Amino acid sequence: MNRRDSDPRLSPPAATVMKLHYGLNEADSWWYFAHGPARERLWARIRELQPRIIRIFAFDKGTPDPVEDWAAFASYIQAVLEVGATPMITFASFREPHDDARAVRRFATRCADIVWGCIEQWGGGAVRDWYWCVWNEPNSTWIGGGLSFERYRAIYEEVAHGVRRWLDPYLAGRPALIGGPSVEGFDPFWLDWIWRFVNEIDPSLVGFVNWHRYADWRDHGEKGAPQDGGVHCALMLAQTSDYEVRAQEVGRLLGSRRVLNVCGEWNAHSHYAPLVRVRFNQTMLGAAFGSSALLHLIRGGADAEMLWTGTDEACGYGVLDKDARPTPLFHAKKLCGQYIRYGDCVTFPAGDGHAAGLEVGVARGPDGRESALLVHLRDMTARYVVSDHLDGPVNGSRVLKLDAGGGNRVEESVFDGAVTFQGYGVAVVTNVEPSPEAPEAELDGGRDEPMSAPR
Amino acid sequence: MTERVGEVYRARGDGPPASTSQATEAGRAVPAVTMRLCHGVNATLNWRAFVEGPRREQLWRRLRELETRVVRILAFDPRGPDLMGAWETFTPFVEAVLRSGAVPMVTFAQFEPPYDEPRAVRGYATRCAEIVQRCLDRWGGESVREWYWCVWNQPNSEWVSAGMTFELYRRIYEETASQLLSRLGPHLMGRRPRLGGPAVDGFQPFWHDWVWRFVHELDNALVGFVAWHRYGDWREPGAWGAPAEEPIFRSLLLARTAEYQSRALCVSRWVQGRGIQNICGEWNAHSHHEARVSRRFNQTTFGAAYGASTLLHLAWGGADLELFWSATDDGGPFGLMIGAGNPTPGFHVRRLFAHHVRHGDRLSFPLGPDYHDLDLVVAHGSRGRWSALLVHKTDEPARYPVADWIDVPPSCRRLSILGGERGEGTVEAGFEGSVAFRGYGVAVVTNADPPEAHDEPA
Repeated sequence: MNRRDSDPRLSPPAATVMKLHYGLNEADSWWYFAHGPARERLWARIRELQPRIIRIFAFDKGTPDPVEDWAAFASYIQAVLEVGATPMITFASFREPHDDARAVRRFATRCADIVWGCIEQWGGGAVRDWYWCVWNEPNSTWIGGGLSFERYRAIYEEVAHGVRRWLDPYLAGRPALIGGPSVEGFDPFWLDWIWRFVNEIDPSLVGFVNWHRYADWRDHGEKGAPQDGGVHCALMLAQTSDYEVRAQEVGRLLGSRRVLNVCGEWNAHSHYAPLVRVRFNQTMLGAAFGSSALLHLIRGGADAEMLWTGTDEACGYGVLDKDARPTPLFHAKKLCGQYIRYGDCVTFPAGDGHAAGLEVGVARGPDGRESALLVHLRDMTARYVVSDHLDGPVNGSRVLKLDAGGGNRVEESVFDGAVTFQGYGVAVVTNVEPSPEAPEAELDGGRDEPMSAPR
Repeated sequence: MTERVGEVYRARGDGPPASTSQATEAGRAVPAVTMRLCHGVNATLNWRAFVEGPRREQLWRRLRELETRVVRILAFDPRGPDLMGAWETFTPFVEAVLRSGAVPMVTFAQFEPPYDEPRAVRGYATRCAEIVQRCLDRWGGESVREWYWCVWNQPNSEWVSAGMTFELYRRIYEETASQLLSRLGPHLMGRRPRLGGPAVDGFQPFWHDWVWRFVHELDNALVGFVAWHRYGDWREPGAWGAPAEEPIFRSLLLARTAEYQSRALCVSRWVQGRGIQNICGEWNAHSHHEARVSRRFNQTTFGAAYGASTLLHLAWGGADLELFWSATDDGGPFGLMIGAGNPTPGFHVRRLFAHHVRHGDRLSFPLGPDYHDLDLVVAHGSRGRWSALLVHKTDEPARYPVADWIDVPPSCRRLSILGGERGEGTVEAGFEGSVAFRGYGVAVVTNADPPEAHDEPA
C-alpha cells in the first residue's frame, strides 16, 4: 500500500526540528556504575549513547544515603559527570506519614542539604544546570506511596523552596531545573497530575514535568494480557505511538510555559519479576520497541527521555550489564544517538508504519549529513525497498543493521537500495562516512558475550 | 506571564494566541482534514417516552434537527425492552428510531455467565440471529442491511462483564457474527455487514488491547465497525483522587477532551485500509449514575462546552460516528433532552455543530497549542459556506478578536452564541469581528443562513 494516499490525519507531517535530549536512569545497579570493576568501560559505553541527562536516586533504590555516606553518594554523581552527562537527582520519597508537617520539613531540609553539598563539591556554576526531581511516582501505591495530589503539592513546594534557597545565587536568570511529578503512566488519570502540577504550583518552582511510560506490566496471559506471546508482543509494539501522543498531550498542557517535557522512565515492560521483563526489554523485541519509542518521542516534541535503565546487574531492564556487555537496545539506542542528533531536521515519511511493519525517521543535519533510521516491527523476514518508504531519493551509501541475522551486533554493508530484516530489527541508511575509530565504535558487540541472567 | 487566578496559576497573554498558524506542539504543520463524523445518540434510557410517550413526536423531530444518523439501543439489557419476551415492544422502538431519521444500532448487550459454556454462547448467538431475522421479515432486507449490530457491551469491564476475557469474547463474537451474517448476507449485495464490537469501557487501562485484538485477530469479513466508549470522569469531586475543588475538577475535565482526538486517531491507525468504521459508541462528560453528582457536568452550559470540544476533537481524530449517551433521560443526569423533549444546552450545541460543521467539509484548526481556553475549528463547505466554531473552556469572561486572527470572509455576518453576554440559551446576533463569552460557551460565526444549513443534505 502506498501510504501517501491514505487518510491525511495519518499521513506524514512536515519536518520537525529534533529537540530530544537522550538520557538514562542509573538506579538499582548504581554500585556497578559508580564503583564496579568495569566502571570505566561502562562509562565509555554509556558515552557512546550520547546521553545528556542521567537520572539518579536519593532515598530509594538502594542508593547511598547522602546524609550518612556523602562520599558514596558523591561518587555516584561523579560517575554521571565522568560520562559527560548532567545529573537529574531524584529525591524519591520519605517514610510515612506523608502528611506530617515536621516530616515534610525534615525531608525538604535533607534535599536542600544535598543541593548545598553538591554546590560545595562541584561549584554553583556547574550545579545550577543540574536537574532536581521531587518524588518518584507519587500516584502509585506500589512505588510512591499513593499520595493525593494535594499532599504531593505540599511536599513539592517545601522541597522546591529549599532547593532554590541554595541555587538562586548562581542561577543568573536561568530557570531552576526543579520538577516532578514523575507520574506513573498506567494510572488512567495520569494526565491530571501533569495538569495540576503545572496549573496549581507556583511556576517559578517548576522547570520540568516528568512522566513515565511502559507498554505493559503483565506477562503473557496475566490479568487479561494475550496468552499468545506473538500477539502480546505485537500488541506492545502497536503502542509505541502512545509515546508521541503522550508527549503531545503534555506539550499541549504546557503551551508556552518555559517548562521542559520529560519522559523520565520508559522501557517495553515493567513486570515485577526480572525473569519475565527481561524477555521483553533485553531482546531484539526490546530494541525494536525502544527505537520506535524514540522516534515517536521525537515526533511528539518531548524535550528529554530517560530509558530505564543504563547499567543492570540482573534486573531485566538495563542496556549494559555490570561488565558493560550490551543488549540489542544498547546498539539500537546508539544508532539513534549517532544518526538522529539534536537540532537535526527530522521527517517521518512513511507516516504510520505499523500497517506496513516498518517505521522510518529521516534526519538531515546542517552539514549535509543524512540518515534514515528504519525500525522493523514484525518478527518475520521482510525486504524493504527503502525509496518506497521515503519522501525523496535515498541519499546514503552505507547500511548499519541490527537484527536476528547478525546476532547481538551491528553489521555494516553497502547500501543497494533495499534492506532485509530477519525478524525485529533496526537499521540506518546513511551518507555519513565512518570516522577512523568508527568501525570499532559502531560495530562492536560481536565480541561480547551475552548479558548475565537476571536474578 | 503567569498569575494566580482562584485555585490555579494561569498563563496570561495580552495579545492574540502566540500561534494562529496551523501548527502542532512539535511545530509541524497540521493538514486540513475532511469531516467524516456522523452523529448519533443512545436511546435506551427513558426508552418508553421515546417510543410511546405523549410527546414522542417532538423527541423524534428534535433528533432530526440534530441530523441523527444512528440511534443505539440495547437489547438483553435490563434498561431496555425485552426483545424475546415482548417483540411487540421492540417493533415500535425501531419504528421510533426510523421516524427520527436514523437507523438503529442494536446492541446485544450480554448473557448471564458462565461465558465459556458452548451451549450458552450458541443460545445467545441464535437469539441474536432470530432478532435479525424478525427485523428482515418486518422491515425488509434493503432497509435492515443498513442497520448496525453490536455484539456485547463493555466486555472489558468487571462491573458489567465480570470474568470475561478477550478469548471468550472472541468466541462469542465469531459465533454471533457468523449467524448474523448468514441472515444478512443475501441482502448485502456487496455491502460490508455493519457488525461490530467490542464497545469497550474506556476507563480500563488496557482498553486499547481489546480494540487492537478485535481488529487484528478477528476475521475482518465479520467486522464492519469497532466501537469504544469514553467519558470524561466517573469520580465524584474529592473522591478517588479527584480534586475536591469544583473549578479544578471542571478544568481537568475540559483538558481531557483532547483524548477523544488521540483515541480516535489511535483507532484510525489500526483500522486504516480495512474498511472498518471507527465509532465512539458512548460518551458524555461524567458517567456517575447519581444526578446529584453528574448532572451539573452533563446538562449545563459546562456540559455543552465539553460536548462541543469533544465533537471537534472526534472530527479531528477521524472518528466515523459518535453516539452520545443519551438522547433523553427522565430525571437522570445524561439526557440531551429532559423528560419529554426539553432541550439542554448540550442539545443546542449539537445542533450548531451539526448545521455548521458538516459531513464532507474541509476542516482546519488554526489555533496553536498555547491557547488552552479556546478550541477553534473552521469548516469550509460547498458553495462557499464558511463557519468557525469556537468553544470557550473557562468560567470567566473573554472576548476573542476572531477577525484579527483568521481570514473571516466578508460574507460572514451571523453569530450564534451559547453562553454569550446576552444571557442563557442560543442567541443570534450580528458578527462584528469578535466574540465575547460570559463564561463557558460555544459560538459559530458563519455565512450560512439557517434554512440553507437545514436544506443541505449531509
